[in-house]
Amino acid sequence: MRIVDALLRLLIFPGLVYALPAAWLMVWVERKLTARLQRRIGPPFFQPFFDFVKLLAKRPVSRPPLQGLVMTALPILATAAVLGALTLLPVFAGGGFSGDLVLLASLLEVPALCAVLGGFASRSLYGELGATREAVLSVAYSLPFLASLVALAAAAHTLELTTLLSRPLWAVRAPALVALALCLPVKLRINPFSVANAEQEIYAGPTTEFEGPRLALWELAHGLEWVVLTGLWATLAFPVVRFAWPLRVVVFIAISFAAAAVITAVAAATARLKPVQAARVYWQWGMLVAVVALILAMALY
Amino acid sequence: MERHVSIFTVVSRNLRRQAVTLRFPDRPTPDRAFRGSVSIDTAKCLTCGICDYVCVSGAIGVKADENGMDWRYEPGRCTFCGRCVDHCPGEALAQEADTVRAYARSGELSKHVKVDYPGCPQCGRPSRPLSERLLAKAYGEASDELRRRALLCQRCRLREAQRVLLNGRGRSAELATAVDRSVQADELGAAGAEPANDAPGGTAPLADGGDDGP
Amino acid sequence: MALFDSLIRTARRRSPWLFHLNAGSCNGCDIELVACLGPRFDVEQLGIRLEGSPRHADIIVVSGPVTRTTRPAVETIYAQVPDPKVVVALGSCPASCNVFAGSPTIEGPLDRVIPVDVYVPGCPPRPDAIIAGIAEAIGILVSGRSAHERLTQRRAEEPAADGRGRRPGANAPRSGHPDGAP
Repeated sequence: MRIVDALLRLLIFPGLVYALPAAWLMVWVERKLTARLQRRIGPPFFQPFFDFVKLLAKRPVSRPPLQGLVMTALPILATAAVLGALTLLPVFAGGGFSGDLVLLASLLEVPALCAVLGGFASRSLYGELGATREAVLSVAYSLPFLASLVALAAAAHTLELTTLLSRPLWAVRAPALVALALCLPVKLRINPFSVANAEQEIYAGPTTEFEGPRLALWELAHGLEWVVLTGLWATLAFPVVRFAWPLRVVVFIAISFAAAAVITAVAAATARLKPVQAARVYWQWGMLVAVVALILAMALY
Repeated sequence: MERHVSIFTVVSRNLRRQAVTLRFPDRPTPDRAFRGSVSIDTAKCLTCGICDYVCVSGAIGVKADENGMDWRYEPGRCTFCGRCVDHCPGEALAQEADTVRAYARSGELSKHVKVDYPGCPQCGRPSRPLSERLLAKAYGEASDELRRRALLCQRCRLREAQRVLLNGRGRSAELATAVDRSVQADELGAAGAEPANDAPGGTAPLADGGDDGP
Repeated sequence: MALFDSLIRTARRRSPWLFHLNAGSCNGCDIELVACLGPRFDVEQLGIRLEGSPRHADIIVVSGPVTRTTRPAVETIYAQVPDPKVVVALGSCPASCNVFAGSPTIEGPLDRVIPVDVYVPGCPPRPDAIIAGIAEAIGILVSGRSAHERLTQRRAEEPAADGRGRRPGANAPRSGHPDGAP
């Protein structure tokens, strides 16, 4: 990928200029749709933006130097990782490099890792509780998540995303997409897998001790995670046709938001599962589907 | 009755229906019988202080002096239970049918009312009233004279009672006058040389001598 | 810059996050508070969110007459909420201790412990009255004239003898220090 290309993808699309408003829009869609499904009005349109600005304007809490540094660095790291992952999204037909699938998967693990580290760094009982739950869930969903990506790579015999997506491979893609769809709610920390940041139950989970600008960055990272995860699913669900890039962009955005809406609707209709139950969902059903994808990948391709 | 409705049915139905939310600052109108802030009708107040006594949260405070009574009410302390309204013998208290607004300074909404005692029909000094209900309960179908006596101040009532008793036993008028004088002296001493309002023997003995009250 | 200030003020007005603290309440006020989150009253239409952590909040809503065991918690949590913040006393208990006044185990009313901006009377107050009280608190938050601001200003102006002067009704330590309390 050329430097200019990379910069454009990082800064314009699907990077910052697209991702920032898209993140706020997706968070708003989540809250508004949840409200409507509960026969409420919900927040007004610019709510996530105002939340962000308000948090930036809070006076930061003074912390001991090292703890303060770590607590500031972790949300920055999470945001940077998600932006990096956004850059790598295979929206356009070309411009990838071999191994970018691995890089994307690694970058997508970083926010969860930062959440775990942040919970422990904050030295709060509730932060640690949330962090351990997040860690357990991360171990649980990583298995089917990475297994489906491996299945796709094995089927296409390549680790380059754009090449992978240029081949139909629907026999493998279908179960892989199902497994990935199952993993999206837990990565987004939303019902039925919201146990890590179980609101009210453990105060605020890993972000309990974060405030003001640090919290603003966490919330931003969370919004960007919505964009990148639904975007990843959108690119994998993309029909394998030669579209011109404007149409690709439109379809990508449409599928992303449709996926966000479905995830939100499921979240509004379900209750929180316990960590053990969640782990069972991923290690039984998630792995079942992922293993089906792996077997099909090796058998057919 | 068991009706199992799937949550997915519920949420998809909700999507098609309107929100039930009241848009701020709309609010549901409270019922007519809503128990809100307590208000006092000073004309009916008997200054008995029962409202202070029965108030569970100390929202009502009553302080009596010779001329009247201070009635203080702090809505911020109130439980809006209505005990004061229920127990008031004069039915002077009522509750407004709306909520009390939020306030910023403690004690900002307190109400402070002074209820003056009505004057004694005989001497005009402030005296605590009785309620019609209480009179009816105590005396039944009371005559006007009885009613008048019930509204007298303590001293006038005492003097009236002594006069009636003395008359009933046929004592002489001089003794009655002596009683008057001693009561007068009493009054002069208590009030600090304040002259009595009526001359001794000013009130004529009762025409119907046999009627001597309950 | 005036534009920034205006933006920040608007953001604070449109996004007030709440933290609810029960200082010995009977739960009547607490139930009415969460009724505000339901479909009928839906405070989210004003951008209000009930947050799980005091570090995330702008408005602290306190119910209950501040019992002896909850007093340290109230002071600690008040210190943990980052500036700017306002305090709402919910119900008649934090305003006056209601039936518990005079009890040896009650440290209330709330303004003996932390500075209070808005009192919402009622036992319990109706949800619409609570929302109106919170709206008033939002106005105070945005205006910058909250009780906490006034207290901080007074402290900055007065020359404290040993640097730790305390005034009645304002025993709360300043926010900004993560006290080592568990």
